[in-house]
Amino acid sequence: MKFRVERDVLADAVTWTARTLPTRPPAPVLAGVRIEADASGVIGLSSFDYEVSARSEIPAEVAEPGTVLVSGRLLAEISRALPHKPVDVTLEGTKVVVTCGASRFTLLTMPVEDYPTLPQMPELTGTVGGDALTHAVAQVSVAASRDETLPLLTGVRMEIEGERITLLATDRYRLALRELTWTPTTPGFSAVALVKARTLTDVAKSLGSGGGLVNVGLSTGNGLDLIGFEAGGRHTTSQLVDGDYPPVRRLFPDTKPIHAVVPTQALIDAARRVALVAERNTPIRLSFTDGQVVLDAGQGDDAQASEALEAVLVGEDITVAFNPQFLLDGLTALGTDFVRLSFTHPNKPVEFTGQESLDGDDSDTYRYLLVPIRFAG
Amino acid sequence: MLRGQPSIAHLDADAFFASVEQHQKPSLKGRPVLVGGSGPRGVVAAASYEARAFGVRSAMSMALARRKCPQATVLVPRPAAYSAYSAAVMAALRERTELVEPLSIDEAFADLGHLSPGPDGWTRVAADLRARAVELSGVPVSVGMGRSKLVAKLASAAAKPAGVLVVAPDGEDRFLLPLPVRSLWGVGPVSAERLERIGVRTVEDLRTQPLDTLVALVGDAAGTNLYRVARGWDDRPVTVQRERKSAGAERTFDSDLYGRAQVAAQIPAVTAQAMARLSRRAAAARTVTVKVRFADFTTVSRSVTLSSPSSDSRVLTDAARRALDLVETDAPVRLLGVSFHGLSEHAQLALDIQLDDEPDAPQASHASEEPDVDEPAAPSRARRTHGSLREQDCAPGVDLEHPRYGRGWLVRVRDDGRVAVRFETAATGPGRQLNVEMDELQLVAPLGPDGAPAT
Repeated sequence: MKFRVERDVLADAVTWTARTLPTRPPAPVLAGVRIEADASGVIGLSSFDYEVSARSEIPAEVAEPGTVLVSGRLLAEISRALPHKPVDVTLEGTKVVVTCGASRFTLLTMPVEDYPTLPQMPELTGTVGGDALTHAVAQVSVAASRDETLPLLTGVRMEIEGERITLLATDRYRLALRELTWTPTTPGFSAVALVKARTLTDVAKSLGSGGGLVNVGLSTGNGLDLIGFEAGGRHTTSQLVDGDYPPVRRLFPDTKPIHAVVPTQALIDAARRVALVAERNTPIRLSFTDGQVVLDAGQGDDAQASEALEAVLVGEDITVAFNPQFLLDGLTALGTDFVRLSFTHPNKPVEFTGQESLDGDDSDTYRYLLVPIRFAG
Repeated sequence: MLRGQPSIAHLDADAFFASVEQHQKPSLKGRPVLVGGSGPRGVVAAASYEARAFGVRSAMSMALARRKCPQATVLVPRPAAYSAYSAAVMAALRERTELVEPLSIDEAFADLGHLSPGPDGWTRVAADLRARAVELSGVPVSVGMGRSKLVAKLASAAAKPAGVLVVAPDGEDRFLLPLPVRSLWGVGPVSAERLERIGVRTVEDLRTQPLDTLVALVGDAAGTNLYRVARGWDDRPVTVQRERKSAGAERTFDSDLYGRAQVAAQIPAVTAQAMARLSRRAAAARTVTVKVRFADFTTVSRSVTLSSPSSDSRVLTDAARRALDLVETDAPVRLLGVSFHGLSEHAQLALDIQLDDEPDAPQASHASEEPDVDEPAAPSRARRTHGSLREQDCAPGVDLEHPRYGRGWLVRVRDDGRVAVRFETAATGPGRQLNVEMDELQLVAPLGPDGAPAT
């Protein structure tokens, strides 16, 4: 095997492919990146941890085709450190030699025949705008659980119904729902899938940020449930999380007798300041009265802070208390100039929606439901 | 600053649970009584002084205690009665000052610094306090007084049973120096053994040791503490609101459990029991600890900490289950405990989400203000205290009522199915034992020291 490739192209592709390599691989070969040089002038780079696979293809001048397996982490570090000159990669016996300008590295190879077969990218089921996907996934995954002992809740549920995808995630304390549109290959396509939030976030960031279209392939019911994302010569597949996701849509309140509207950024800034005195266990309180909301935290002998903001309140006065981080997560995810908080009771979940003007209507394409802290005293 | 007067009182009830039983069951006065789990794995929660004479100690296995003292009467704990008696004992302190700091159900500190003792001095104050506590509760208590909490507590221990001891500042050294170091607060078996290795057995020995040596021996905080208490330096105030730091429950199983599934199946019940011990001021917990004791008595604890405090039974049960996952359960298990730490009055509420793979957690029990009866493994399975007596309610000591003979307590179930009941209360004096039909008996709530039903 022998090929020459642009330094930046190699560094980008290796970094992307190696980013999901496990720190403690279940088998030594899984710490590797497989390099396949094809006579047609394409280099394929692959990684796999039995759950998530990644593959990227880049153009190269291939002198001798071949396949090798080398340490992904080391190759990524080396390729990022190389000078800005063409890179030559050659297999010499059992070693891979990387030369670039005056630099020369020798890497050991691993037995490529022991490397598992990567899952195929599932057949295309539709396409979605990269930026929309990235934004939507970020808004929802904030509510997913990071607790690996509750695998179901570490996932983002995707409900596909024709041209609409609904993303849902919850960690029991908050629930986020986001709707976005896509273009299915078959009109009226319908499916559900549960994808690890961590994987989905990573995919959406790395494939969606280009701004182009992302191809999505979903394969369920064939023994191995798999989802694949593909854009710009790169694709990732991930096994779906097993299990029945709990019915969570019903948790959004039907009637919302009280609501308040506040400028989002001003509320974020005030909450950040007031939260400075809220220790991890203590809540931040929001007291809504006609024309204003007062934020406060801390009580008794502890440090205290408070701040008042203008707010529109429709309905009775209400005071709710939140975990400061959960509050900030939701406000930050909204991305609209104004936030509407809809209440039923101080101890019942509060729905956060975005709206573009103080007296306009709210949009329900993104909803963040946050359960308050029951505040004593 | 150390106080000039021995105005700190430590009041401690003697063999509290056993004394309450002897008070309400006059036929047991002067006889050995053991309170605790009566099952094969039961543990002694309290032993009367008569039983202690045979070498029985609390926390001993009930089986061993019975071997040491076969003539003892074994009774199941009746927490409602103990709470009522505790309130009566504490009332004697509260009549004198608001500065009362309960340490547990049967002991408390009080700061009596506002009193100006008469000619008989502080000993009179202590004796009056003791007499009043006995008058209100009917059970023996001991009172120790000193110018610090440290000395007051040591003095009440020295005064037991049913005595008073006031250690005046100028008599402090005479009192403290001969005491074994083990009797000091914060000196456990491990520290005591380390101290013994360098020849330190008494407080006097301890006082000769430089601070550096003590710190090197038992660590920074404990070493500094030892150095101070050896000199009677203790200026901690009596604090009224003693923050509850933890709440929990334990269950000792009648026979060992084998394998994770069997142990995990007990998690919901023990968690629910622990939740019943949370109070209004400490309604939620951030950390859930699971304790597993194996058949060979080795004990392992593991914790799970939540992102914010919760009082949700699903969340807490789930956290307990996750903590149990961190314990290797390949040996037979005899005890499972669940405890809550990082208590908070604020509770992060949770969405009503039921995950398929988790069994239905029991609903949160009503949070009670009942003092924590954290005596070793006192089985706190709630017993019924009303309704007709059924076979499963029968345990020695439970309160019963008969339409003709009145109130009494269950002695045992006879082979012929009839129930041996001793009909007596604190008010009646020793009563007679009769055999009656089970269906004639009603369960009733225990009585408090004033003769009114305790709830």
